[in-house]
This record gives sequence, structure tokens and C-alpha cells, in this order.
Amino acid sequence: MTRIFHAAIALLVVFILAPIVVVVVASFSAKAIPEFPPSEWSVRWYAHALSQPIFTDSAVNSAWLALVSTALATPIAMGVAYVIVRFDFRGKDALQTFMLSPLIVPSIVIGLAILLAFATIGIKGVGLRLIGAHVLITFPYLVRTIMASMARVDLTVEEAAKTLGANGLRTFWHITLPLVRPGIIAGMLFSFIVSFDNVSVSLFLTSARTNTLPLAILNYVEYNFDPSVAAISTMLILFSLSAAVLLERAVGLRRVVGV
Amino acid sequence: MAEVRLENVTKAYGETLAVDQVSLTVASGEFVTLLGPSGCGKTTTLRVVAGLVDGSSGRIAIAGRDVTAIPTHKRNIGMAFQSHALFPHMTVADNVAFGLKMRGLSGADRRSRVAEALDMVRLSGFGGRYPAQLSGGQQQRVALARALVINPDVLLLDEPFGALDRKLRETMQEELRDLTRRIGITAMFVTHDQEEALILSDRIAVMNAGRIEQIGTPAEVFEFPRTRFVADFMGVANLLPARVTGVTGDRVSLDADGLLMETRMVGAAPAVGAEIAAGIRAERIAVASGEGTPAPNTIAGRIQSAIYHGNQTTYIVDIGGRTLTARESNQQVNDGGARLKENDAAVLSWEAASVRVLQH
Repeated sequence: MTRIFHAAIALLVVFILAPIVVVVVASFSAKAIPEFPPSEWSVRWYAHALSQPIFTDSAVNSAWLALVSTALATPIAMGVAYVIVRFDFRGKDALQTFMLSPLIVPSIVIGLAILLAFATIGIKGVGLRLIGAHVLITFPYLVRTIMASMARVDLTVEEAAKTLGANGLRTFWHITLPLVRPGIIAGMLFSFIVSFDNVSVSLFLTSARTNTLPLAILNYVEYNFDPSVAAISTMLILFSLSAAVLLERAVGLRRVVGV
Repeated sequence: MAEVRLENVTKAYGETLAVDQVSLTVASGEFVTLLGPSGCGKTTTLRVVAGLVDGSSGRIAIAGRDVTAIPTHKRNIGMAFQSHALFPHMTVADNVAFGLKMRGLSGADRRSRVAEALDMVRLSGFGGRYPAQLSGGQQQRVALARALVINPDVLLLDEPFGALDRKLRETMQEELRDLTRRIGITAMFVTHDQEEALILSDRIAVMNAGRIEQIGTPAEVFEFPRTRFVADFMGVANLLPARVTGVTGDRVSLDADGLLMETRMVGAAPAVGAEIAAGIRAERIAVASGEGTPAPNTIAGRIQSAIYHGNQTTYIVDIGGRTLTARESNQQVNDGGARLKENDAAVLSWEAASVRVLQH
């Protein structure tokens, strides 16, 4: 029985990993089309990809976009999570559901809706449009993770701080915030990744001159099929992986000391 | 030093009164326990004193200062919680130093005071550890050090030993008793454990349905409960509805549905004809084997069950459709267990001074 179970898990892992492995291996092809396995090995398509402004410019755009929208969404999400976790009020459940609705509504619909909304209120700048939209799509991830870690904070710990002479602000700063910090960091990393690889919403908002990396890749693949896209993808995988390791360090290590 | 005064403190949650007109003065250096079952309002009362819950009406004064409208962080109190409530992300030393830091003490002053406080709870050398690396008893000692290091006017303790196992709880009770008496701090303690209350307190306030039902020294509350509720909570096993049939001086005759009793009153005698409850502690009833004729404070019966506890034996004795519970210490070596067996005939008797007249 356990043997079948193990075999099933192994199969699942292979199923999930296989495409990634193919991309990574193919990125080292020397020829002008991606091969698996490559008949000749090379890193020249990495050099090629990194020399293309279409990739580098859009990568910088995407990084900025992810950073700025995460930085803007985080404090708002913290406030909303605090209110939802700590206070009882009418319509709390409704608010909670509403806050998570961008996860439920198809993102292509959100993209279209945002485009129409921005056009109506007259926001024309591509950067502003992208940031506004990305704050909206990253926000639910932040609220969720921050809420989860806030709900785990023992309220009597905050009460103890108050009896020891800390006012509300100092209690939040010295007690609540450090205890919620793993959740905030996790949320911010999620948010960064969600923003960084978003296609469906950005699709409606980018211009010929301001593009994001996922859309640049998509555009490139329409006309070219060389291994530079595989190279870019491999670098993205590496980037996500290091983010995950960072996350484990940030959240996992704190758990060791009993948070 | 610091006296704590509660004047008509009331806390309403909608229609229900969690705390109902509680007035109480805890003298400087006194250890007072609020004792009662869950939901009696003892914890809410303590939290109103701490300012963690706003009272609906009434006043609180600590060390002569009216703190009713003053927030928790300005009340100069120390508090220990059942869950310890240590800051999990801080070391033991930082936990203890927190209150001093909030008071703006310099680093050097903080360190010496923290070292002193940890020494007081016998945890010197534990300053660098995290709470999760300590045992339950050690955690609670850190919580005590943290609460005491700030020299609070009053120490508030909300079932601090509720999460500890029995043996550790007894050790901690002794330590707390020694500590509070040594430093002479005013303390308010909340528990549902009557034994704990008896061990620790100068006075016990027994609470029921948001009110203080009786307050007195441990011996007063234990020996002279005034109401059926207090007697029941203080472990009086035999509580029988009875009617007062005669009063001569301090001698009162009772009829508990045919079981006649005589008692000597301490305090005001009840009126003849009053419906009361008669209370007798199980350990105050003597059990003799054999047959006997009924008389006041004596009744014959049959052992329904004999429960051997080791140091004691409890007899549940059928006295004709009702049972009385008697308990005796096993002072002699007896390898046969209980002295009397089930279905043995037995005569129960008690002294008049052991019968309590209790209001419903």
C-alpha cells in the first residue's frame, strides 16, 4: 500500500517538475531553437537575452512595479487585517469576503474593469494605471497572510504589555508588529511574485513603450522561437526559488525561537 | 503602601450583570482572593481593576488615587495571567525589562533591576533564554518577575497556576505566598480552586452571580459559611433542606425532613419556622459500626459505598431514602482498606458545633 502511495507521489512530483526541467535544460541549447536535450551546450542565449532591451527594460519595469505596488498595498492590508481580526462589527464577514473578491473574480475581468474605470476617471499614465491595478491584485494576498498571523497573536500578551505601562501605539510597535512580522514578510513576498508575473491584468494597461517582463516574453515568443526565452524563464525560476528560500529563512527561523 | 478600593463596581454586558455592585477594600500589603465558579464575575472584577475592561459604573482607587478613568498603562499595576502572556519574541531578560523600558529607565539601571528580579524568582542565569525554552513553572516565575520588577502598587493574578500540574502548582503556591509576604505587596488573586484560596489568602471573597456572597479570613469562610452556595463551594458535602423548630439562646433545633439536629449558632439566630439549609462537613461526621437509636445529631444507616482514598475513607451512608457523606482519616495501619464494608450497619453522629445554618 505504502509503495503504491510513494509511487503516486513520485509520479506527481515528476508531472509538476518535468516542464520546468525541460525549460531549464533547453535554455542551455547552443542552436537557434530550444532542444531537449540540447545537441550542443552553451550559455550564449543567456548573454543574448540579457543584451535585449526588450527584456532588460521590461524586467526593470516589472521589478519596480512589484516593489511599489507591494509597498503601497502592505500598510493598507495591515490596517484592514487589524480591523477584521480585532474588532467585531456588523458586516465583518461581508467585508472579509469582499476583501478577497479579487481572488475570485477572473483576473481578465478585473483587467478589463480597471481599464474602463481608469478611462472613465481619466487616469492616463501607464505607470499609474499599472500600480493602481497591481495594488488591487496583490492586496488580497497580503490581507490573507497578515490576517492569518494576526489571528495567532495571543491577546493577553498585548494586555500584559499594557499592564506594564505600554500605551496602544507602543504595544503595537513592540509586541504586535514583531509577532505579525513573519506574516507581513510572507505576504510581501507573495505580493511581489503575484505582481511580477501577472499577465492578464497588465495586458490591458501596458503600452508599446512601457511593458512588463511577462508581456515582453509573450510578445517575443509570437515572432521568435529561440532559447533566450528559456534562458529568461530559468532566471525567473531561480529568482522565485531564492524568494522562497528567503521566505523560509524569515518565517522558519523565527519559529525556532517560539513565535 | 497601596490600598485598593472598589466601590459599587458594576459591569453589564447587555442585560446581564457580570459584576454587580461589588465593593471591597484590599488593605495595603493584604492578599485577597476572589473565589468562585467560572462565570461568577471574579475575572471580570480583576480586569476592571486592571483597566482592561471598563466598568459600567462604580469607582476604583489604587493607592489613594481614583483610577476609574485612567487607562491600564498608567495604573502602575503588575499582572500575571493564566497563559503566562510572556512576549514570545523576547528573551527572558527583555521580557522582565519591558516595564522598566516603558518607564524610561536607562540600560544600566534596567540590567541591575532585571538581575535582581530574576534572582528573586530563582531564575538567575536564564536571562538569555526565550520563553519557549522554559518549563511552565519557569515561565510563570518569569511572568511574576516581570510584574514585580516595576514595583507596582498592586499585584493582580488571574488564575496564574491554572495551567500547571498539581505538584508544580503546590510549589508555585508556596513560592508566591513567601514572595508576596516578604515584599509586603498588596495582591488580588483570582481562582476557582478553594484549596489554593485557603493556602494563599489573608481574606477570601466568595463570588456568585457577579456579587460577593461572603468575605472573611480563610478559617471564617471555611468554618462559617453563611449561605448554601458558599458552603457548597467550600466543600461542605452534606447540605439538607431544613426548618428551624426552636431557638433557645444560641441553641437552635432543626428538622431536616425527619432528621433532627441541634446546633450552636455563631452570629444571629434564625427565626423559628425559617426554611434554611443545614450543612455538615463530611469529616465532622463520626461513623460507628452497629445498630443505634436515632437522637438529635445521631442517625442509624447502612453503608452504601465505602471509597478508600489511602489517607482517608469516604462512606456514603443510606439513612432511609437519603444519603449522608462521612469521611474519616485512616490513622491506623489497615491493610484491608476501608474499615467498614458495603451493607454494614452504621451509626452516624456529630457535634452540635459542626452543624451550620445556611441561607439559601
